[in-house]
Amino acid sequence: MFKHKNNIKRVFAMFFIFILVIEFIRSNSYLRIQYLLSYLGQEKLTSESITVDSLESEFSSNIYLKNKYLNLNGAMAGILGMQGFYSNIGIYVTDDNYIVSPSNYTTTDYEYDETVALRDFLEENGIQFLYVNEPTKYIDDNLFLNEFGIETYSNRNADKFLSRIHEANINTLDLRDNIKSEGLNIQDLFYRTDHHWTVPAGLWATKIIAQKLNDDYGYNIDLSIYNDENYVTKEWKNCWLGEQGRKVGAPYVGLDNYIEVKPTFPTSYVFIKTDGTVCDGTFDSFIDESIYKPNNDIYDSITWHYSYDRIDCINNNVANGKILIIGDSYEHVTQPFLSLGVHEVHSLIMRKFDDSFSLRNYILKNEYDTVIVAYAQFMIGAHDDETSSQYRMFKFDY
Amino acid sequence: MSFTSTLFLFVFLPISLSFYYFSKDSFKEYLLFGFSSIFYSLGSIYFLVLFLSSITATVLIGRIMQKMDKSKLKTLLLVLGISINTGILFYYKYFNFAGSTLSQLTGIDFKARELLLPLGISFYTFKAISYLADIYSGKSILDTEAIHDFLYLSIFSQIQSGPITRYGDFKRLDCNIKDSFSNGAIRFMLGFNKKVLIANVLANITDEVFSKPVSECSTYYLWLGSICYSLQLFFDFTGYSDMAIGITEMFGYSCTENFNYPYMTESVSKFWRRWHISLSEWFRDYIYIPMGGSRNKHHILVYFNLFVVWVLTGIWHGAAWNFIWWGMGYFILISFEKLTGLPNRFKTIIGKGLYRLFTLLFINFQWVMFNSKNIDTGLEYIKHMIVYQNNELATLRAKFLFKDYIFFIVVAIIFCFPIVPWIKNKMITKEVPARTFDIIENTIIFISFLWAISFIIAGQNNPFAYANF
Repeated sequence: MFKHKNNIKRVFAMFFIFILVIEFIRSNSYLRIQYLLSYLGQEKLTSESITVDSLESEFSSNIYLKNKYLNLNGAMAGILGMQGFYSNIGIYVTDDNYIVSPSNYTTTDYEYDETVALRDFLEENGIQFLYVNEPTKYIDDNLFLNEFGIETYSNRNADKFLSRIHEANINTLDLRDNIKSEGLNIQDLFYRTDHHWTVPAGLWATKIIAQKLNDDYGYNIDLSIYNDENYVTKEWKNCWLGEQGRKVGAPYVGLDNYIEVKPTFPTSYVFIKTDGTVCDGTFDSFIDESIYKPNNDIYDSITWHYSYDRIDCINNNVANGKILIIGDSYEHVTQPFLSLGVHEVHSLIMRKFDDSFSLRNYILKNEYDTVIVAYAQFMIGAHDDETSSQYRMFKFDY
Repeated sequence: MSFTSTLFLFVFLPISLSFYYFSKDSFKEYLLFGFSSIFYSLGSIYFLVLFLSSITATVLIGRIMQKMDKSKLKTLLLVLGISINTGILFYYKYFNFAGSTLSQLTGIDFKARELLLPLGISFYTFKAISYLADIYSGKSILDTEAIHDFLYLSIFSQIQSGPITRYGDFKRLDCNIKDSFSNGAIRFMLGFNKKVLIANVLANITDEVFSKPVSECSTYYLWLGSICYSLQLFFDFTGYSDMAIGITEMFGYSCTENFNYPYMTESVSKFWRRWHISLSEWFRDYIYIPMGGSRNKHHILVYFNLFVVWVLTGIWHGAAWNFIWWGMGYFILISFEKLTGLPNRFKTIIGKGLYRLFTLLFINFQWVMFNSKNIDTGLEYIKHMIVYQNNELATLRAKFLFKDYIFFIVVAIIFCFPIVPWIKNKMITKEVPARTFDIIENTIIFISFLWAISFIIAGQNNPFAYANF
């Protein structure tokens, strides 16, 4: 009706074009033409073929201003006060911006069979075995029921599994019991925006594991080395974003704090790297402090949890004990601390291996005194989903 | 490739638009047809040859018919053209359903074939039939260039989900190209927002509710799921239609409207004059009226015609018994309205209002059936919406979902009604408020568009509810 109307529409149409052109140029869209043509040129589609979905996923993950869009998305979720906005990627946010994820029900049969088989193999070869249950970010499944109205089975799965292997005479250590008996708040042990436990929590857990090794396995670890007064801490406030937080945006859940913990007493190590090279060092060699840059890109830099490295090591100051930890990424913190009280500590993460690797040969070749399986409890049941990255974590019988 | 994918938005659309606008006028339709073929093959790579063959046959038959006077041969050609198109549709969409039904009835062994559904087959088959029928009846005069016919049948903006535009309505817009582009761009962004910000978000609720066994649900939970599904389906399809119309206009062509605030309807009959208008009109013009429509001397024939239309409407939406049941539901209610003269016989506002409420409830139940795996599940779902069923966990979940998604539910309900045109009409009498309104409206659309893009990049749920046709 009025001429101005068309002018207003033209201005906004220009904005639309601007977005398209900017994204086309800065996201290197022209490179995708080649991919699209490759897709069209495929003679026969197989499971290895390029698909439009895979092209879309690859393009979206490299799009220009991706993190700004993620921030916008998260900010709006925060403004609207939504807690299950990202439930399709398994993320729920509690009132205090603490991210939690539910777990499906599992029978635990697969995990039970594999664990018992591993125990039998170790027993035959005179090697000690301990199963350590590492907690997830909540120790009561009712949290989900009360806050989000859905069932999660994380703790019930763990209870069932631990009870079954306990009945099969496997020695277990359930760290949730210690949390309860010490009256700790589980949220103090974990990052808000990451599924890992904090460095102080890793130290706390290591002391309990060391105690267990002394009590049940004949170790003689000096537990006083794990006392707080033997460590120096350094804290960064609001400095990084965890892996879960990166999926929902910093404006939604805010940034996380970080505490670095290092022993004050002298340490001396020989490190055996994955490529077989050997080098000397101290406890500081476990830590890559170059990661601690609060100004780093919070989305694309390595998460701060991984500043502690899992490296096979020999502690020159301790004479006894050779331990293999079959663990997960929680062990980035526990392995360095456990190595303070044990002569030699190695670790493996089973998801990194395929069938060409023989766990049994590896154990026999290295002549371990003790094998510890230490898993975050959400690993129980991961084998139910073939697409899960944790699918092979309990594959022990090869 | 979905219109709401980043590949479409930031690769396919900019390339096709820039090639189109920088090419010579005489080459534009060829180019757009080429891009439409690429788009088709990206969505349905196995069927490009079949698709091109069927539209080539259709155009060829149409062009030959155009040159003929009415004769038996012309009728034969029409039958041939329709048979080719419906034959392909029947084979890919209905063969397994027909075979298994026949097998159940007769006990004859039937082995289902692994048949993928060619992209948009129901839409382009209906366009092809209307194209042939309109040429036959003389309603359509073909363009001098056959490429226009190819483009009409294949244009990528309408291939996935319509609207089922008629040949005569698919023409270049008279207005300035800048205006048609601007209108198209705004319309596209509006549709994108409806689809991503409302339909996809509400799909989180409906996907969850409809995937649970009804026995594990509570009445509250089932109601939440069904209402959200009614809203999701509307915003999903109207959003896609807006995007289709917007893209068509960006390329300088006109496109049929497909929705007119359907949930504002006064009766079930009128609902279908507001929902998926291009499909309703297609059935009216190519099935109902040729069969005699309402003008049959015998009442029974009128209802038979309605019956046929609604069986076909149901089966068009899907090769399953629940869709036929769903079509039958509309047949019964529309026949009831025809027979009783309702709701026109209500004289009071309360009466009319109550009937509106009844209509919405009926449509809501119908969508439950539409979205159910089979008739039994649909009926069980509806039964427990009416007969109270308690499940504490499900009720707790319903409360959480309602609280968490309240913003989107309220926005969806508001925009089901013509609030924006109403405000616009109030303001349009004075120029200054109208300008202010336009600036605010377009700013909201644009900012929401950026927000919607963030949903896609964040990997949020991105289904297409009104798909697989």
